[in-house]
Amino acid sequence: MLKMLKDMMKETDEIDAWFEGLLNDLEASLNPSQLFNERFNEASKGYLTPIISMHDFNNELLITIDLPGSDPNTIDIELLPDKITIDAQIKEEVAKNAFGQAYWAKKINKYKGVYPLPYLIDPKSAKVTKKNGMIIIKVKKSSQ
Amino acid sequence: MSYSSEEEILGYQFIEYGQLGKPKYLILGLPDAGIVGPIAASHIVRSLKLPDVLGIESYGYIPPAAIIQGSSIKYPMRIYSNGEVSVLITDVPPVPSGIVPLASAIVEFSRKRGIDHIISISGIGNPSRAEIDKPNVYYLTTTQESQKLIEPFLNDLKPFPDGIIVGPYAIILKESVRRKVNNLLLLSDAFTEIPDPEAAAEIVKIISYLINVKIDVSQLLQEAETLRLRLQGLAKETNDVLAKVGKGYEYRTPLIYS
Repeated sequence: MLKMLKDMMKETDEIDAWFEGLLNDLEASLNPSQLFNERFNEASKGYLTPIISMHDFNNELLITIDLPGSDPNTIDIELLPDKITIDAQIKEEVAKNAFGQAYWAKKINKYKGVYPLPYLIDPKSAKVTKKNGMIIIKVKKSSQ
Repeated sequence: MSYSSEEEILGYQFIEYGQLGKPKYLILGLPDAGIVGPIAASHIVRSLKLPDVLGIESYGYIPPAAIIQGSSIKYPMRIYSNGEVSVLITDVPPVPSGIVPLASAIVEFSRKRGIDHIISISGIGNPSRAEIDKPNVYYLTTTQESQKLIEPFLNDLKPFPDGIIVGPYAIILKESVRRKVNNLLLLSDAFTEIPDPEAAAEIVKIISYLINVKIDVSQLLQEAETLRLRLQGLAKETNDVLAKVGKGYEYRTPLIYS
């Protein structure tokens, strides 16, 4: 009898967990999706927001910016104490190879993005390297 | 498209329209760090010219999407197979609540169909990846059989260090242990959020030795920048989904230590 009760309670827990998962997904679908809005803006305005990765290494911040297919002569990066802005043109040939005949990608020809930094940094300490279409920036945290 | 069989496992329909056969290997290319899995899996399918034989569908767990390729309508999640080697690819990540049942369903499907080895492919997000020229490849096995599979190649691999794994491959590992299924997980150092074809190439080389089939990675490396641009969208979607299931736990130590 006790075992039957335990089995029933276990099933109830599983149903609760499943239902909670369903509610979370429903909530996510009802709220405007940031990802969808970002994509729609990109397609209509003709730019991609680059993927940028930031990692904290104690005294310095490592910022990796992925700009595949960009024309190196057009890359414009502004590093401020609290944010970083990125602009670059995408080579037409690379964009065609990447996106083929996709209708939403016909206008895409540049990268553009503004990203807040997790803490204040000292832009003058920045060291920049380029590697395979990526820009890698190591910058010290601000002493202020 | 004519259907030969359909099977429902944990909310996922496995719809066979070709000849899956009884392959020795099922290689999984689920999206995770660096999109290493999908990149490596797609390259293997292309190199071996594997036919599309099975679609995986779930109207609850997979976003309502169809892939159109050359006027053909395809399922977003598919298995390609030549009867010896099969590969699972997905164009769309499942919703967060669909990850656990998907992983369990894949293991159960493999067990039922008598597939000898599941080979999972992923990346380990490494904050210092930009400074690494040749990514390391790590491994984890669930049975002695999968350990024997990897034994001849241990000089090229490192055992996975102590830590936490979060995502579909974590569930596949646990379910494989529970159901006594041979699962080998291969992970390479990869960018956390950026698609990483170079990391995928290192894993393809290992798989080429394991399955004893020559797979050339030079085209994959030549097309690396184009691939990173093409897969930018999938990378952003994957990061979004994995953040919701606690991917951040991988970047801390577990309580258990020796």
